[in-house]
Amino acid sequence: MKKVLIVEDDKYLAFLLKKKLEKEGFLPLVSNSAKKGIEILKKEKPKLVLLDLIFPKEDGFKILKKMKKITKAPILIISNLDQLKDIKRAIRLGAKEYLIKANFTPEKIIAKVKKYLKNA
Amino acid sequence: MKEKADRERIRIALLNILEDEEEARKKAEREKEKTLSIINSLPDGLFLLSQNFKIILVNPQFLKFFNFKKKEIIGLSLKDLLLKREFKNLKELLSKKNKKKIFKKEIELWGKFFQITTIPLKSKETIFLFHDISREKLIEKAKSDFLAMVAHRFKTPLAEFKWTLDMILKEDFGKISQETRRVLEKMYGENEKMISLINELLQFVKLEEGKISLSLSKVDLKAVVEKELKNLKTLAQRRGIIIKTNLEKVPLLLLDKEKIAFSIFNLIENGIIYSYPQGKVVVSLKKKNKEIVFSVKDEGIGIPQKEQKKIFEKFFRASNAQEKESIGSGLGLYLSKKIVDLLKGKIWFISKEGKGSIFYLSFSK
Repeated sequence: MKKVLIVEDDKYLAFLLKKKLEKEGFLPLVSNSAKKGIEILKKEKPKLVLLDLIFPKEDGFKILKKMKKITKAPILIISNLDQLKDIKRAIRLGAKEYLIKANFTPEKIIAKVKKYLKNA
Repeated sequence: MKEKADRERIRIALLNILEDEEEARKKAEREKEKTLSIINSLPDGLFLLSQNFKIILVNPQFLKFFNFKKKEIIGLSLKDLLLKREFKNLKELLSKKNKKKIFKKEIELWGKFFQITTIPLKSKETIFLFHDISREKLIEKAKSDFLAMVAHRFKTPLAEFKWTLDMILKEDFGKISQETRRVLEKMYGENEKMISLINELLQFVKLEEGKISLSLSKVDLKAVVEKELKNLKTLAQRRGIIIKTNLEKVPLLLLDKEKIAFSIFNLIENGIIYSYPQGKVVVSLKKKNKEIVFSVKDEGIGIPQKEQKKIFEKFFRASNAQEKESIGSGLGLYLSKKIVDLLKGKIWFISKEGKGSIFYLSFSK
């Protein structure tokens, strides 16, 4: 089963994503803090990362940068920040996609996960 | 006798010349002092670069900005100035020192933000002007942070609701009855409206600032239309609206991609929302003479004749629109028009109540 890391501080949304991923046959790993997310990334080596950008005390972009140094796995951003400059910045820092939470559903997010893991 | 008179006249003439010169010299001196006191009291920092790129004049404000002493600066070359305080951001200015035009740039130096202007003079010297915009930048950042926070705070609960409903409807939490499905679908739709409203409100706040910054790039309108159509696919399906497309390949246009996408989304969304059930919406994109024209045609409720001239007004919703759709911000078309005007395009419509509307957007190639 393919490991997918979810780094999301909203526990409820993380729960919904986890349930959907399990249903689709993936092995979701959840972290509510960015710092713990990096630890899990190093230890478990997931095949894909779903990363939020807003954390209460951490800078999502810094986390993205750190993660890019640790893994080659595709990182998809899930966030409600919708300013173009943030989207451009995330892509420039190496995120494969930028998904705005309010414009996506768990089903559509899973479709993106499947797309990037097709060849993994 | 005549010689003495001549000599006297010459003496007086010479004295007059000397007096005039003295007068002129004093006048020039006063002018110079006036200019210097203006330069010295400027709230902007200033220095003057000589023909051979050495600093020959510097004002107190410049010294104050960067904590320089006058004697450190006078006579310095621009290159040496850059080294003094590690002004690497100023490197670009080095190449501008002998250009003919006025050059302006916003640069961050020493923790402050400046708008730097270089002004080449006829005398081959160059003025460097440093205007402190740190406060404006702070306000800009505060507004931007506020909008980002609002987006996050308002859209997170809406996203949670959306995701939950979607998963229940997909029976991820167990089977649901037909009736449950029906009411939840309705809630999903209402929630989507809220998300759309928040987006419009945020767009409105951004545009109403007065400080509207466009980020222009070469945009493929056909791709933008296709993407927005995809975003609206679910809405159309839920309302049983068939969308027909007629999209030609068109040349790239210099536009603000995010803003034009918003306008296109708004027009297609209106076409869907104000159609009668099972109606048809035709979305076209074509080249017409020197223009590129985008249009959305619906066979829906149309706009009453009397209300047509107000359709682009802030917060205006036509009476029959309010009847059909209770929720709406009245900002969509107002914003779309504002955006299209900013991008130097045209927006107009033809409409008949009860028959439908065609909304057009055009840009010249």
